[in-house]
Amino acid sequence: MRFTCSRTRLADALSIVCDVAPQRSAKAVLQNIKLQGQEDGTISLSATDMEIGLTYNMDVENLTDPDCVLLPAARLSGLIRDDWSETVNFVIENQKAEISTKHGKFHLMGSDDSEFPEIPGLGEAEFVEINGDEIVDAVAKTMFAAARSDVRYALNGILISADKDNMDFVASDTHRLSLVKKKIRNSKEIKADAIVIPKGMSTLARLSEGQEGVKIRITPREMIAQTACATLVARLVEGQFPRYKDVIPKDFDKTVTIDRETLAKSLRLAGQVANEETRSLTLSASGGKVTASATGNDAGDAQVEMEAQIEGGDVSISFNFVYLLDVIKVLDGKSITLQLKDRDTPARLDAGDFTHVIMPIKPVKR
Amino acid sequence: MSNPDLNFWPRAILHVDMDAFYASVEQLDCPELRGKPVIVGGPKERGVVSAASYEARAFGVHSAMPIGKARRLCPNGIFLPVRMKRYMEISSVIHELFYSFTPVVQPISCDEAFLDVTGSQRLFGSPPGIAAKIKTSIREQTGLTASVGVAASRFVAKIASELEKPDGLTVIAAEDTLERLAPLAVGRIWGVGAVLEKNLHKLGIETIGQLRGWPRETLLAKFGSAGESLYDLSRGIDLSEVHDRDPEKSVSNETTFAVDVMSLGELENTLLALSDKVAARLRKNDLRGKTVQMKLRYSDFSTVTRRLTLPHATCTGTEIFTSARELLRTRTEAGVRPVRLIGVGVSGFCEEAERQSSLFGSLETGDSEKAETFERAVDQIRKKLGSDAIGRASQME
Repeated sequence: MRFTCSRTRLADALSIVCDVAPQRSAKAVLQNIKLQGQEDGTISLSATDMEIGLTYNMDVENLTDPDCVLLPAARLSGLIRDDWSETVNFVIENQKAEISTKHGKFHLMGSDDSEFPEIPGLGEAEFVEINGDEIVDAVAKTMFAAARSDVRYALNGILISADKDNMDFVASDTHRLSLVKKKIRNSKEIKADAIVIPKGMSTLARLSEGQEGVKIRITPREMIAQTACATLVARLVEGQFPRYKDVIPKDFDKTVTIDRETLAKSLRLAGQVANEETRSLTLSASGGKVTASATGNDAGDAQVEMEAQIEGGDVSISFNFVYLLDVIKVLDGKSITLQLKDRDTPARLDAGDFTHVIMPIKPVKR
Repeated sequence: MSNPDLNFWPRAILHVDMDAFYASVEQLDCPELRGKPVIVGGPKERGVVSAASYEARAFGVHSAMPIGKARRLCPNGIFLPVRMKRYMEISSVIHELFYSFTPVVQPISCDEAFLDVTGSQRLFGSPPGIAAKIKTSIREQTGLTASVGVAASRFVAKIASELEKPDGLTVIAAEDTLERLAPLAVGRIWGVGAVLEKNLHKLGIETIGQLRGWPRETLLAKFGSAGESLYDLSRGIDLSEVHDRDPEKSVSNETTFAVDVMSLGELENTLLALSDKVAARLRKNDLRGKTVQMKLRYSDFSTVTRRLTLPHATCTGTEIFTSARELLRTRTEAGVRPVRLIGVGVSGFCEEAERQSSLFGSLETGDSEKAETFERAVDQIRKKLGSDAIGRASQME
């Protein structure tokens, strides 16, 4: 097999594909990428860590004798990344790759693909289609709220839930919850839920950028997504995602609106003296001002005042300030509006199709 | 040598160690056992020796040895089960008695304690005299013997009590410390385990006296912070105080099964009972911990410990059990390999003033606040009506 292609385009493709291949694995075959020439004159690059699998198609020039070979992922992507030529020529013969550029010539020992796991494609079944940039937005606003290593495995993933025209993206570590509602472009009356592992969602976001439509199919064991040039398969997390709609409160009697940047700066400032375990800051709203204060810990205390629009009366509730900063980071409006009620009710932030709730920190009764 | 009896000691520490405690209690309660090799431990053929009478020790039996091995060494030994309730009865009598001599008592276990008697000399006389009085009181009140070491530090007092067991009273006055320690094996020093002892032997250091010949810098370079303590202890320098009560670092409980267990259900049931016991102890001591650990010993004695850290500190059986069960189910071979011992513990104690609330708290682990209120109510009922007054339905026989 021979072909020629643009080095930068191949480097871009390899950077995504090689991130899927595990750096260390009990199954050595997974540290390779599968390079396959197609009859239509394109090539595909595949990698899997058995959690997610990715096949990336790209156009090449002058493809002859299409064949298939496994090449070591890290070496191949390193060579293509660090070379500075415009084009790359590949000659694959007897599972050995000769790679030549304007500046260098390399030989990489490959191996046959019989041990490499099959990565399924989208197939003919029903799928939903969503705009790619909407997926990027949804993933950015949910990922940070997912649990890292909760014993309830379902919380370590992102829930995607299709219902008629909408797909909900949900993540929660039990202390906070993110919900983003996105429109499905091909309303198909599909009702399907899947909890996708975080790496599956972050890779999906990477592939979705700038894509007009991304097709998503949910099977009992995996999510399969297809963009114009790539197919991604991600394992689902087993288990039941908690009933998220039940924990998003609707009745609030107080709102506090603060300039977004002022709030972020004030939280960071006061947070320097917050308790290192709980990260607790008390937000007290009263008389057109919100005070963020840290008290009652060994380090010392802090009080930072900011101007605010307060409706519904005075209120004082403690939160993990890092949780507040996390959500402020993914928003871009001029101001932040928090809906509040009491110490037993989560604070709620809304921004367009995005809803976020954060549970308060409460004093421990002795 | 000056007569230590007549001088005021600027610092006087006693180490009191009951002789073969469990075995001696058995011989006390059952006169026909006296003079015979008595071995307490179990359960049955499994488990380990908890105590061996001096008659049994002559056969090479010692505590922490598997019962099976003890039976081979001493086939005519009298093997008895542990009667912890009875030992604790006597233990509390002994500890009560300590407090009549000094308020500064540090119990190490049910049969061993350090006493700081520096401030008791005016009232009760010289430290060796106090030691003799304590020995007499123990014998009068319980019929048992103890070995007592008297010295100016905890370390030397402990060494002293070991020198003339059983029924010993050994005084190592400050001015005699160097001389008395010199011939003893380095393995007697606190913190010198098998590995360190071997490394010391490699350097030709067999006795505490030989160790003393090495400069502080060399010991530090070779053994790090352990070198510092080797240097000090070899000179009998131990400034550690006798603590009224050692702050607990972890609370745990474990049990050895009479027959190896395959059933996950039975393991989980035992885990629940252990979790409740650990939780009750945490609440009694007003402790809450963030780290739950689960220990499993398989039939081939290979042992695994698995731990996880909770988002908040807990003292409830429900939360401890939920975490331990998750560890058991997902990170062990329980149900596949036979298990002989299971244990659960909580550590990472912290004083929490505030706690992060949870959105889905009540779904699976239960709302931790509610669980605590509930379990504290159970504690109250048990305190009033006895420990059998209330229990989990799943634990009823």
